[in-house]
Amino acid sequence: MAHVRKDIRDRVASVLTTGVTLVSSRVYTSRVYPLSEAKLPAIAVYTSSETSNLMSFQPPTLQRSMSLTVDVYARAVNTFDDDVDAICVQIEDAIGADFRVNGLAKQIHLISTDIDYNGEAEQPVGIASMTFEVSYVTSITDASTAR
Amino acid sequence: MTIDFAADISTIMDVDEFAVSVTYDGGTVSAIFDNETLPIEGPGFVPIHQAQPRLTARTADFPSIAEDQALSIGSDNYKIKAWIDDGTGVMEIQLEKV
Repeated sequence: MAHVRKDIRDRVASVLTTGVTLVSSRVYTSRVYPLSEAKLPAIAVYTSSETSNLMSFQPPTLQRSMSLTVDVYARAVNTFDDDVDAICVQIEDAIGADFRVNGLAKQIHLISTDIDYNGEAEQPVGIASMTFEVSYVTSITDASTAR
Repeated sequence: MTIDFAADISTIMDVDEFAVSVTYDGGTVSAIFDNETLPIEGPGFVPIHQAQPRLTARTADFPSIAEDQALSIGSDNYKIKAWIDDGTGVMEIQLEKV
């Protein structure tokens, strides 16, 4: 059985694959290798950190708070900044429309966005890193089932 | 003894040596073209690998250099985006692929 964290990551990637048309299905989960020009624009989804608290003793239940990061990579001559923002719009709208992550979580919402631009290469690139907070609950003895 | 540095530069910038032909400002000049692939880092987890086109050229061949001037190398078209003159008659020019 998979951890609920994986199910959430996969669900978000699926929602973005469908909802973010500007990246033409180039949505990766936990990508660790560099992106070449041919793979842009693209999105990469990561579940990077998590904290948890004991929510109840009977039955023992964990309230989890996870950071889910969505990185946006775009390259364009004149519109790199606008392209990044346009992709962010589609990401926010798609994730916002799946507020409970298909029943896997209590809620997901955007908490921060970092954006950087670079003109060192043959075309300017824009990279945004969006961090979402995901709250979900599991039994203390079953991390593969959302409650 | 004086060193004929200009002659050395001309030798290096010869298309029979290290240089290529560059179409620029209605004419042709010769310059050394580098197009190394580099990792571009940002706030994301992974870098982007992208080519970094640069020309090393004689400053005298680009007397009126300006941002967004067009040039071509072979079948590839570029715009000049930035340059650094090293003060010895040679400049490095940063290019953007069109």
